[in-house]
Amino acid sequence: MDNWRVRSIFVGIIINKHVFRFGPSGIMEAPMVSQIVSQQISGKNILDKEFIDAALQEYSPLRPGCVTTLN
Amino acid sequence: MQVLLARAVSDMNIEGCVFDTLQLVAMHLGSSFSVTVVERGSPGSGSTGLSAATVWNPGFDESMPVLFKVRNGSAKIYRQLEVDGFKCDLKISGSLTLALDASQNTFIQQQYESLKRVGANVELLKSQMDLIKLDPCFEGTIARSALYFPESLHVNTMLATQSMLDSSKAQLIENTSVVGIKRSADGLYSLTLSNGIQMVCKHLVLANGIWLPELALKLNLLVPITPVRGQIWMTETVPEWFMNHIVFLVAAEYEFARYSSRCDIQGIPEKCTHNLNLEKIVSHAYGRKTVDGNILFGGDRVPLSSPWDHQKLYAADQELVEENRSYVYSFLPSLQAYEVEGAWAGPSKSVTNSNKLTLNIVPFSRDGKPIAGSLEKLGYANLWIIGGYVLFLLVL
Repeated sequence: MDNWRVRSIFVGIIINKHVFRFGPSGIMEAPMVSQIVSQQISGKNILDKEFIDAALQEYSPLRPGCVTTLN
Repeated sequence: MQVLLARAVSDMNIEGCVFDTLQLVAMHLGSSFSVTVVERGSPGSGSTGLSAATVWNPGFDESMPVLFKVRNGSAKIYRQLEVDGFKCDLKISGSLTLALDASQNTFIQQQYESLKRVGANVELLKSQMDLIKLDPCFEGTIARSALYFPESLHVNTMLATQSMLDSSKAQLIENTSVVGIKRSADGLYSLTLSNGIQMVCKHLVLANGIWLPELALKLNLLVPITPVRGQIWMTETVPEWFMNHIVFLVAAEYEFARYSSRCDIQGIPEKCTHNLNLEKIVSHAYGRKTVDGNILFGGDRVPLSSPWDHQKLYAADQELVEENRSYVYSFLPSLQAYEVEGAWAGPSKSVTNSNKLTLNIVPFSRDGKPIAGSLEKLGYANLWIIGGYVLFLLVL
């Protein structure tokens, strides 16, 4: 595995959201979002668990107003 | 739209999205899993290839929040692709975020202080002179100040998508879509493809962009993703010295910090620039130079009622483009010296040669955050979803 992926570099601290909304961007950050899900599927611990947990909670499909069942 | 299905450990396919999500999932899993990608068009087609493909990157620090790490980590993935010999035309050009009036100027200074506190690699350009010194294209600008992020970058989306797929060792089935999904009593997912082939898998990842709600509905799932139209226009080739940084405006973010465009009844997500009647709520713009030397600009985010109304949704709206162009000229007057080719379809030469205005229909979640994770708690074991993050990543 690539060195940068192996390093436990993700701490997952969420601070002032107002700050992090700043800075427009393109759609090319998706690789990390898909890597988060890929790690869940594979069960491999490539990214730091704290970061994964924080990201999965913030981006959860089950958060209020998000994915629901038809029934 | 692409499709990627996952089956157990030894046999995996995945259903994916307008962007490189599937290729990325394939890349991440490819070394351990047998992956098949079923692609509605070709890799990088759709809005992936039409995107401006900029990555606002604030640099890296251990204490940074999730969003910063997502961006910085993505930049590293692109760099690693090239190190591994897979081409994606990555260019670390740096980016500028401009403040055009006194309120935005104050806002941008507050942002600078906040960003520095969390360790971002950012510089504050306090005057027009500072801005012009960094990039002479801003001669005559009304911009008062700017934030400079040296580590921001852009890539060639089509090349990157193909490279991700190549690095994954996945099997690719092109020009094929999924027309049916069923879940059997033993928990496996059965897919019917447009070519008549049936595929069965244990794990299924839904990540097909604006078409995700339609596909999820086949499993009785409601996914609140709205198709949003963006338009980008392009100039002729400019001189080498002209605009060598990605350019963003802080105006929209300043407005969205105080105002929400979200309306769940009408299905309008956060941070749209227009309402369903095409009435403008907020001005927004971003742009960059292509590797060929053309300047791209866009910024509109117009919510749409359905991804299927092609006649209406994919029709070029010259009026909105003209509006965006006038806005860009207000802070970048020197750009008027260059002819507008009126065409944009991403960094691919073959596409830009189409010489017509091209639209980019992208998926927005209602609250602007990505939707990513398992649906097991809704009773769908081994069903995964990735989508709706374009707003989150585009706007900020």
